[in-house]
Amino acid sequence: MNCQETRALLSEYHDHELSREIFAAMKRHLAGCAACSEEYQKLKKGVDILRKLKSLNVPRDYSKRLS
Amino acid sequence: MKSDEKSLIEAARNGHPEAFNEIFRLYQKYLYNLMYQMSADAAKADDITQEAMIQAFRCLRDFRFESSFKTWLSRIAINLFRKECHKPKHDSLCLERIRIPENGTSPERIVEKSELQWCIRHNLQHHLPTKFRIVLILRDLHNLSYKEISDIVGYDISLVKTNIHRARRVFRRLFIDGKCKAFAHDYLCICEGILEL
Repeated sequence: MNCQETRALLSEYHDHELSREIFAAMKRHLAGCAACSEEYQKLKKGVDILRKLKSLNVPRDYSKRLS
Repeated sequence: MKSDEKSLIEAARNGHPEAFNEIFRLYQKYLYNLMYQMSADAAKADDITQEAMIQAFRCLRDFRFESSFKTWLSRIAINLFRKECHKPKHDSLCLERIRIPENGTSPERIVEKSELQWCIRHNLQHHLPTKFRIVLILRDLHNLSYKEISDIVGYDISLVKTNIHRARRVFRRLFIDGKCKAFAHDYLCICEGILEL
């Protein structure tokens, strides 16, 4: 697996949406390629930042209006 | 689908409104947050959440258990959100435009700039195209699978994958590679006054 193929699949790798074989090939590539590994860390960091968004409580009970 | 959820849906179809209320209580927080994350507008989120529930109530007989109830309800809400996006801009005054003080160095502005929550919402709302924002929120904030997202947004899974990947690249560029780099490191936003790309 080369760098171009790896970078196109970074999100799917992160989300475990790849077949076992492709996941293993990517893991090997990332272990040996500093540039792709850095790219993956950036992707992960972006996801981590987004996940800091807190959820809000609902302002009212919507189901009551349907009765 | 959980068996108790299926029983509630069947009871609601058989004319038991309490069963319907019970289902909605399970999902109203999810749905309100989804709409608030999409729109960054509390009033819009409130309106769309309520409208989605009314539509689901009216169309419950059309639900065929082919997807989860959550997926079905999400699809209704996302379609309403998309319609809202196509309305003329002047119909929905953006609250963020009002809240940001003119003076970039005022104390209020500095406080607002230091708010991670504000900055994430701001970037989602103003720097990400709608098609990217929808898939990114469904995936990274609600942990839905690619298949579920595909069912909700009506895109082929390959397009969902592509859009999630592109959306993440745009979002992370804002925080890590780009103008929000300083913010990502020391929680100080330097996204000065850029409200829309």
